[in-house]
Amino acid sequence: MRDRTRSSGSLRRSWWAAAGVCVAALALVAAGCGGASGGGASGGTTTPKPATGQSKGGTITVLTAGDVDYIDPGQMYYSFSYEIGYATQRPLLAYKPDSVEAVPDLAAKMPTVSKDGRTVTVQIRKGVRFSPPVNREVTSADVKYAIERGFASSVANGYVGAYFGDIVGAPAKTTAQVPNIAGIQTPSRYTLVFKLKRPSGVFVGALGMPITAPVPREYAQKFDTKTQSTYGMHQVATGPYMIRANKAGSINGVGYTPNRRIVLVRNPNWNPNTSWRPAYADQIVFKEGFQDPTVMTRQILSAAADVNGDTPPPPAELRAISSNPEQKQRLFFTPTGGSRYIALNTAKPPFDNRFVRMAVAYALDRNALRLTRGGPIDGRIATHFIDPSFGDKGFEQAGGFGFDPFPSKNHSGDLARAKEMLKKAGFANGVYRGPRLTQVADNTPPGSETAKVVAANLAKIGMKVRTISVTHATMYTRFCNVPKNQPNICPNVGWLPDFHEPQTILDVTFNGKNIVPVNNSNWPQLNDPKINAAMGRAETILDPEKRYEAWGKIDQMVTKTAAAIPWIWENFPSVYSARVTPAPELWNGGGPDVTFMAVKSEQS
Amino acid sequence: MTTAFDDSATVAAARRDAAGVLPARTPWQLFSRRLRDDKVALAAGAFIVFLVLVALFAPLIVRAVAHPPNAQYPEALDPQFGTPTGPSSEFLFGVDTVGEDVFSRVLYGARVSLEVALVATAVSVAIGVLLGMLAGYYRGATDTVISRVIDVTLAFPVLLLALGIASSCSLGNGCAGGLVKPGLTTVIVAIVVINWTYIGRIIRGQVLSLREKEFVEAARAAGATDRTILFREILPNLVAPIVVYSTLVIPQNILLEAALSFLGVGINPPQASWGAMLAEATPIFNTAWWFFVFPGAALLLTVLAFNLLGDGVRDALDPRTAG
Repeated sequence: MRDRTRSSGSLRRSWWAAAGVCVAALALVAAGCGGASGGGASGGTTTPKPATGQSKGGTITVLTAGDVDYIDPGQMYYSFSYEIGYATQRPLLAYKPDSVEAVPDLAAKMPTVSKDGRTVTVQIRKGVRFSPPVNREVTSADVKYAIERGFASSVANGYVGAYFGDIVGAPAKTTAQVPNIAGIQTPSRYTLVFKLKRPSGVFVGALGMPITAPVPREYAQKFDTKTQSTYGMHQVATGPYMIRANKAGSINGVGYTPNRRIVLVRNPNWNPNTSWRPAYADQIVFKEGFQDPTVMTRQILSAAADVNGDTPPPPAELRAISSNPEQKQRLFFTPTGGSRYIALNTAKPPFDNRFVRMAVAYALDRNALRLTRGGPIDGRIATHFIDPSFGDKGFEQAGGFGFDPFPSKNHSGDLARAKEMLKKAGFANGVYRGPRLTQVADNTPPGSETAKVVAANLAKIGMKVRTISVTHATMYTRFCNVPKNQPNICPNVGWLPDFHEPQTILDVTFNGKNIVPVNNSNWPQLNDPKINAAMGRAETILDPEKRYEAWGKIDQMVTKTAAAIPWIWENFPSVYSARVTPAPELWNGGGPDVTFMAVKSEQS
Repeated sequence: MTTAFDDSATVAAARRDAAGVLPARTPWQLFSRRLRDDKVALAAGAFIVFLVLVALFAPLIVRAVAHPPNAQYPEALDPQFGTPTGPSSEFLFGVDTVGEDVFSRVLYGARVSLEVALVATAVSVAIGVLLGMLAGYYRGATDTVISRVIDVTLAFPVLLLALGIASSCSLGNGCAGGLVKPGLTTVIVAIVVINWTYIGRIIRGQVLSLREKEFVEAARAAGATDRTILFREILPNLVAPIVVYSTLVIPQNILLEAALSFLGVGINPPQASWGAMLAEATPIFNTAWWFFVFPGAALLLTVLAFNLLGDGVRDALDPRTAG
């Protein structure tokens, strides 16, 4: 998912990874960090086990800078949105906060896959009901409709084509109406059968995406027939919480005021016997618009609020918290499972030239880039795209920590090699003498500082860079996501995995077939036939080991093109107030799992 | 011999020549004497001269004792948290969040502030004076149109208008067909669009009065053209208000540039600007005070100096307004 940043440039949120690193592996990673290229964090680096046996009651307050991308579960594709989506909806599969392995949620048990990989069968739980005003029991037809509506132009889900496009009968493009997809079958009230055109190694993982949360057709259809669906503002819930709504089911101005507030209250029709979520709190309030992360952090430390939702505490506050023994216990660094990178536009000069891109890769001082995010506590220097948290599920196969096609001493850049690359590109003396370059960057720290470092590094090899500073949302929606408006450099992009499969890190972002005119996530516009073909083959591998091997090699291929230059495998710092139990989501880049957070007994 | 107490009668008594005739003094001499006696204005003027010299010789100073203003020194940041470090023998004013030398950037920021203030003031005064003279001299439809434009412009909240103009021209190739490019040009244009109206109104009022004076009548009777009357007869009589207004508006323009940069629509990075530095420093002022204090002090002292000098010039030109 895109790292739409948790404000100030966090990664694009499109992929939230089902970070699958187990706690033990995390401890190893944390213990191994600390060197110049290490990502050692002070404070808690292991994901805490969520507290159990807590008392119910109380209100939890989450502070955020921005808003959700979409409130509609069929459209949301952002790690922050998932903090609300997974508390109010029940996709077929979901995740416990300290795990990256999907477990059945709406599904009664894990899906079964036929030997040829073309048939996936899911049984859904009985007794799961929609919230008011629908109230009735959920059936398999509701899941079918939920996925189908993602293909309609009024919903236009951002990942439905990538993960559900192989279903028999799935349209190749968005349709004017919600299609009836023949390959999604409901032979019984509680059974779903997916027929696939070709085997897919990641289809089961995709069943953990929020688009699989059930939607009642008879209620939602009237909203979905509009040009832009308004179901989101009238959504019903199946999770332990619902967005507060009026009697007619509208949440607009009731439980959801865009860019201001989202209020979750208990879903009266939620049956705890059908769910593993404890749902301790009575109410969760997301307060939005906290543009100053320092103020946000101080409110949390003073218990005026409880946790940061989309924005990390700034480095100065992290430093202060780390030196306070009591506060340090409430600070956690969760591997996001993804990386930040500098995307170079390969569709136009000069970055259509591989040697020019390689010059940039050599010139960049990754250490200086990491310092803009807080230094080693923010994560390890990235040398390719699959995150260390994947372990032997792609990271090792990509060469692990040892694979670095653009090495330099201390990752501080190698100007001599950069100049050699420029000479190979035809620039005399190894100094770039082409037109001035443009980058579009965040106008607030740390994204703005990252952009400054990029410009300063490129100036050393003769590249003059003009920086256009805009809001984070504008950077994506007007420039970097729109190929025809894209500048030479998008320095503040990144990607989190959609779930714990290496394909989700590389496919949407670097496969040429996924370049789209708007809402594009293949920012470098990489369209390499060999890489595309390799991805096409890897997508159909069912055997996990072979699949990880294939994607590991693809990671190396993509990295060597220097179309995008990764520079950090990032940790997301989250700080909790003393009044609540922490529950950072390992699978969702460290965002708080509000269904596992509790207001401590003495505070209720 | 003159004394510090510049009493005209005393001076006159002391300076009568041997024939007992009081020597005449030109307006310039009177102005200079009054200004020289205003120690506060002199001190302010000295500071401004110092500032101009610093701005002019910034490259030499930086080469001698500091680092290039846009060069980054990540090794000067805290290695564990990447936070800025404070003043040291190597970085006199400490470093900012990306390891840039704050001392160098404060010096180079003076260039930006002075350039914007002086150029924007000069252009806005030129436009305001010209349009004010035309409105006051010709009256009628000319006056109506110009005055209404002034009224409409003045009705906009200053900062919002400046923000609107600066924001519009801050993206892409700027605006006005690329004539107004993002950065310094945009800031100057935004300030000019706002500021010319104030001087325009003042000049209009002055000209309305001056056009009725006998010397204008005499020039008209002698066959002088309107252009000659405007630029040879009326304009010289406007020097005093123009000078006073200019010196008083310069500090406002410095602050407006700082405000626009603070709000992110002014000078583009990596060019140093006091306002942009303050914007970056504000969230971390409690842990990186140097990053806030040095550019803030520079801005404060510069604005104060221009204000005090402007007061002194006004008092020297017209002692009746002296406090």
